[in-house]
Amino acid sequence: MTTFLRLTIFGLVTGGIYAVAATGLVVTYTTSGIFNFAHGAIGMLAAFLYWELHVNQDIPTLVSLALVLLVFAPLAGALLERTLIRPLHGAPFATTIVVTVGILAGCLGLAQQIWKPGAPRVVEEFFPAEGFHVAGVFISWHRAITLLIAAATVVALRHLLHHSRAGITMRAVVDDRDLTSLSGVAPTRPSALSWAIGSSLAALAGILIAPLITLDVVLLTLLVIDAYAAAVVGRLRSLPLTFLGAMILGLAQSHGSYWLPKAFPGDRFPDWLPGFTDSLPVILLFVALLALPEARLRGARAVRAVTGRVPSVRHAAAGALLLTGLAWAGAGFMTGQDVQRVGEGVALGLIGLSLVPLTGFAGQVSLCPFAFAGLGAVAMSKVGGGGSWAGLLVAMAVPAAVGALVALPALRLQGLYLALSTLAFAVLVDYMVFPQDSLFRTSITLERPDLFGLSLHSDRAWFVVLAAAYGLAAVFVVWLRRGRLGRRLVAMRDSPVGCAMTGMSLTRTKLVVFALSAAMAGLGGAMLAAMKVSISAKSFTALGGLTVLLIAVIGGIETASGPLLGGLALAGMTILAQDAPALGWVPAVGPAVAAIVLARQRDGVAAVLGGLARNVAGRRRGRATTTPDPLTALDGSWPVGQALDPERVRALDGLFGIDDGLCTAEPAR
Amino acid sequence: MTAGAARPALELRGVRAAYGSIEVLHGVDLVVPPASVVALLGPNGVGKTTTLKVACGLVTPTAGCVHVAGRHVNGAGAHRLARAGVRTVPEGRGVFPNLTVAENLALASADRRHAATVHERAYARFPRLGERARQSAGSLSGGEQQMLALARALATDPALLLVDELSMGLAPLLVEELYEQVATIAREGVSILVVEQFAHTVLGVAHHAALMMNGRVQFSGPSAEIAGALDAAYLGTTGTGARP
Amino acid sequence: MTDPAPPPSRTDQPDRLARLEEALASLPAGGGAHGPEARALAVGTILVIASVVLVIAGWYGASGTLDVGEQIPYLISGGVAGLVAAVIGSVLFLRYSMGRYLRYWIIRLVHEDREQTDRVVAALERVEAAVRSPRDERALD
Repeated sequence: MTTFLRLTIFGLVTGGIYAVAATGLVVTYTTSGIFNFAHGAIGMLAAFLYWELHVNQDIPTLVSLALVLLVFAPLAGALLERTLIRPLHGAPFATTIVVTVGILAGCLGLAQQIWKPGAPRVVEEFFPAEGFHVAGVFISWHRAITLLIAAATVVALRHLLHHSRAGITMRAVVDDRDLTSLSGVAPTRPSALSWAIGSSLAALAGILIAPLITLDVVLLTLLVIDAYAAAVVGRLRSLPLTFLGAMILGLAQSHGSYWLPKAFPGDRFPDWLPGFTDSLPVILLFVALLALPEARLRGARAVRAVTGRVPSVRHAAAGALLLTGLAWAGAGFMTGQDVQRVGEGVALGLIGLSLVPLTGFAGQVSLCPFAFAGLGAVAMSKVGGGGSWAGLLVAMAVPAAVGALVALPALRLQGLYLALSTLAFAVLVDYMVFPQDSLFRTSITLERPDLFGLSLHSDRAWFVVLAAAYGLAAVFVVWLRRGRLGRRLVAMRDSPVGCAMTGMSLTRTKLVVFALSAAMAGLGGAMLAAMKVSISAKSFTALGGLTVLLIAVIGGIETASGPLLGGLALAGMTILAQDAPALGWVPAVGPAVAAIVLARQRDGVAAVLGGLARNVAGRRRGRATTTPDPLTALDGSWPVGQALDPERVRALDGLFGIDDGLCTAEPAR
Repeated sequence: MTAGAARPALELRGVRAAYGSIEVLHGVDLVVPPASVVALLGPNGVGKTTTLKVACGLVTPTAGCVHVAGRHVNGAGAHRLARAGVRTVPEGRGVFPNLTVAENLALASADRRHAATVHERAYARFPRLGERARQSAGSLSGGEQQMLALARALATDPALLLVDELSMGLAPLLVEELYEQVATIAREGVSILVVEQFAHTVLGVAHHAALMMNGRVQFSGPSAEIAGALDAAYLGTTGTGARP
Repeated sequence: MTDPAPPPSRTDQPDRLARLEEALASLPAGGGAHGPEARALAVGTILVIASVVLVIAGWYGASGTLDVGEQIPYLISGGVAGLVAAVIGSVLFLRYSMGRYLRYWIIRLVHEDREQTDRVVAALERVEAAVRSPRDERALD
């Protein structure tokens, strides 16, 4: 009985932490319409900052807490909102997801650079080892405080959102931004406030969790990501439901990790059990997503009129040949280590290419490319001793089958919820599937198969094969785009309502493109594994897979060559960091920054460069813009003979700080 | 004549506006004299709503001047203009559907102390709102939503009121009731610009009228004189009144 | 349909409008730089701030060692780079903000000049008309 009580109380405490994190997430979502994937990262950064201040720099507890919770977190949230989130107003889902995922990856990289992993870091509990007894169970003060804080947070936020003027304004901004302006409230202020609150809550959650586990960047981030399940249970809208979801989550984890192993006789539990209890939150997330009511098809969103110029298959083939030739020539020049790095970059590009039909054409954001890549690598290692062409084929078929299976339940989800379900899948595979002895164990070894008797054993040879494989895949993608399936994919992205009205089966198309994407990712994973020869599950982590999305966006997620550019850029950054260790932050943070900057561009870097070139050449298309320069307006609207408008001149004088009162004098009579 | 009476409450001079690269207003001249009701008429799609958006600050004109109370206000943000005293009832029910009636009114008030007076005044003017104070605005009927929108706009005693399509989707009796309210408000000294597609509903209340076609104001003058021009504009009849 | 309400008494409208005018007097006329100008101004500002950060970072790093040889990389990447960034940033910012100011002045002067010419021409025409008409009248006698 005491065990049950103890587990329940611990579960409630964990649930309380999840509640705090999830509430912050729901607040930012309901007031800006953007799901902050980086919520977990903020919590993680706050926890590390607290450790830095309190443990490393010996600043007293309360001061450190105040600095992190009342200064750093709100400022970070408001700054994020102002610089990165506000421009996303009205942007398509995929763009908002890419930007917030970029922030997440960037924060992860930043944290790993500032606080290098390896050294153990411990945060003490509040009032360590002190507590009180309830019905024979010892509850530490820390846990009691946590529970109190969680309850207080939810109550306070509900009061804020429904009874205070600021909260009403926050809800109004989401309803109708223009109308809020017309009511005399600048719509930017409530947004900044809500993001500040959301970040503070994430920070609070991070600090509350930190003493209960070891301080690890990835672990902490994932823990806060676990809170997403609670938020989804609350339909991303209702705070009481979110609280309930968080409690269920905490209790399930607490009881599950104790009672489940007892279900197996003796002490031999299956491989997947530890992973299962760890991944209970994401399983709950998956289930909650599937239990959501079917979202209405959105039709009223403005559609971009411009679609990119799609190259012909012949051009793509020529490009592929060129790429292979360049790889062959380049392999001769580069050092062995560089060939490895660049080869890895190309392989990552190939995995990124799998996202092009899925995310670029069809607009379905997938956050699990590494899950399929890892499966492909493992599949290849199991066939023919780890080095055969049949293995490559299997490396494509197995992920395709898994992808189709996974896609089936998730097919009716759209936009954000689909992305969340892919993230849940990636974490699930990371925790439960990969660590199994039959799969990755510690590491697997692959061999490079021979081609018609030609040994491809050397690094350089395999590098050329990789380039050729990318070229082939790129040609396939272009061919796909030019065909009927490509048109269906673009139609699905542009207007799901339109597709449904013309009788196109959305589910079948999604199934096909998911399977295709998974197959390509599997191929990329297998070839990456062959490039590295020996590879472990650490190369295919869920959070690492976010980098693939980012590099695909950098190069241009709607182009076949985009992911290659992104992969080469990443390889370049890694090589740079090798030669100058001080630049270690470049490959850690670089892709994230670049992806955020380029998120709105269809063609990635090419678009930005093209735009710059056009500006420099001075060619400006179209004389009308929505935010005109008052000076150009001045130029154009005072034709000869029209009287000076004294009021306008006075206004512009004010703009330039001119105080001489010219033009306002009445003409002398 | 005092200085205040000489300056028009709202003046648009040669205003051009565009959405992206598509120009919608091709040089609009419009004057709203102080404490009068001006009706902006015209068929669908000529740019009436855009003109209103320029006047309230949601759209920045690409050329031309917008003067409110004689002051140049191009590019001043909509919320600043609103706070200064330019209130708008936008097209399609200017209410927040997910907030209650009381919350809608609270948001329209300047601060917490003022909110009590705002509620009082609104319920006095529109008793039906008082009965539904805790109901969510999205669940109100069309007429009640429009009443709420009007009440919100009048909450801070504005000097200039801009109304877009008050009659859209409402029963004629209700429309008449609402325009009676508009006339009352005008008598209190508020300058009002009413954008309306159905001329007959508003001409009885308006002092002046302006007719817009193709992004320009084709005719403006006292509302009594506009009837003839309306036929020609809407139906393409000739000046003699012969129907096609 | 009632007749339109008679224009209200003049006593209350100046009050409302005066209030409105007062409130509007404090509004900015809206609009700073746009497009390439705004971007250049932003880049200039960022460069200047970055230069300060670089210099501080270089100082911090150099203060960590006593060996001059080790300090030199910090001097170069922090100090010199910071200096260069500051110069480029300042030049950019200055050129575009001054450019805007001068552009406005020139336009304003041109228009005032045109207005002045218009007034002069109108005055001359009045003079010409005044000069001509008495002569015409005399001719009729």
